[in-house]
Amino acid sequence: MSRTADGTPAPPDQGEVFENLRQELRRGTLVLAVLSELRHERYGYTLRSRLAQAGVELDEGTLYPLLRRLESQGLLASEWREEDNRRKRFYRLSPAGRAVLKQLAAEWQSINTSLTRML
Amino acid sequence: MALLERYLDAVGRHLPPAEEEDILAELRDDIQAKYDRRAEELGRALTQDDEAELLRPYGRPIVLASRYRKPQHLVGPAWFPFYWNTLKIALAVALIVAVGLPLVLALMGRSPGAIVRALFNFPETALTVFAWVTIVFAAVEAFTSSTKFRDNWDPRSLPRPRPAGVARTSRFDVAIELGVSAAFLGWWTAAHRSPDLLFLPPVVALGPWWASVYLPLAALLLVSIVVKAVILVRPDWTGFRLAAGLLTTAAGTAIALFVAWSEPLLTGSGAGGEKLAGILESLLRWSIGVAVVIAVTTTALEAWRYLRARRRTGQVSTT
Repeated sequence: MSRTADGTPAPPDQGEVFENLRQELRRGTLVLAVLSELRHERYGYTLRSRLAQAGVELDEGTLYPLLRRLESQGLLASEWREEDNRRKRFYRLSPAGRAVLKQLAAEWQSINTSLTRML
Repeated sequence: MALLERYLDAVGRHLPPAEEEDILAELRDDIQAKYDRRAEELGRALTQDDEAELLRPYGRPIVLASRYRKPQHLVGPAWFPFYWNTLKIALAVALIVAVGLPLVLALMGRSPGAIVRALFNFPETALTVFAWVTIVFAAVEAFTSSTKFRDNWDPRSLPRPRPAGVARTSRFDVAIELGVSAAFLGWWTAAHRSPDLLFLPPVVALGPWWASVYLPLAALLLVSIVVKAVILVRPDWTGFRLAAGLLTTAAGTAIALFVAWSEPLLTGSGAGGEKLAGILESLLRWSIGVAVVIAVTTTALEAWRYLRARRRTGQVSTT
């Protein structure tokens, strides 16, 4: 731990602390955003574009592993199809995914209401 | 395009083989779409610098590939506190066993180089202990449900608070005692096979009592190691600790008294040997006497404090 001249622990870099907390906060909402957008069938590139337009930025290396994880959990279904002379993998919510999205959305509304009252 | 192929190839090396083709096809499509869009914006073919700029946000190939693998940790947060505690205890015991015995030998003037060798060898021993503890906990992590483990916790299983005045059992102290007992048992067993390790002068030998005492003392040490291992896991079992302490002290005292009453304790060969055996025998009897008095007094005092504290808090009738 870094220390100041008088030997007391140096205060943490607030910019770094904020950035870590911000990422932590946003990370928890990514699944909800992705499931929500996949009520309509999309492939990865258009999904990320849609999320970016809505203000949800995703790292390039985050989206596809997340999609695979959600698929392995049975929340998404996918299939390879050809479009514009290129093979693409299309994702959509599975019935289980729809049910989970409904529950998560209700949870989100509840958290949002509580926090809005508090903040 | 050349960089894209190199990037995909590097990612593929770290992917699960069964999914490699599928993952890379999807990744290629995503990156290719970006390439096309960027080339359209620039109105020309992409240069290697353009490619590098587009690939950099995907991250290092090994990091990207690791995100496709399910377990991202060997020991997760549910098990980590137990893993960390076990590791500390195991390393403390290993340190005592691996270094303590050579230290005793060095202090007794035998194998003075042993302690140096033991210290140099300890990093290897510590790594082995670290590896085994990690492997065991990684297996526990992989084959048990941490959610169930968390949910199965019952506050009613919490230990009773210690009666006021009874000292908290220090796991570190117990680990040291365990290590010392293990090292002593090792030495005792080795000395039984090779009496040279008793470090007696060549003209002095042990009396016939030695053969009768070997097994009872080895058994007592073994019981003591088991008891300490139990206390290490459940340091809150104060009653058990004291009861076991009373029993082992009683057994140890019985063995010590048997030795003290044995005639002769030591035998000497030649006039000088007999004289030396006599001096050593007196010293030995005194040492045994002092050790017995200290052990009995300490245990009795601890038991008395415990009973007094429980009587004060009205817990005598409970276990």
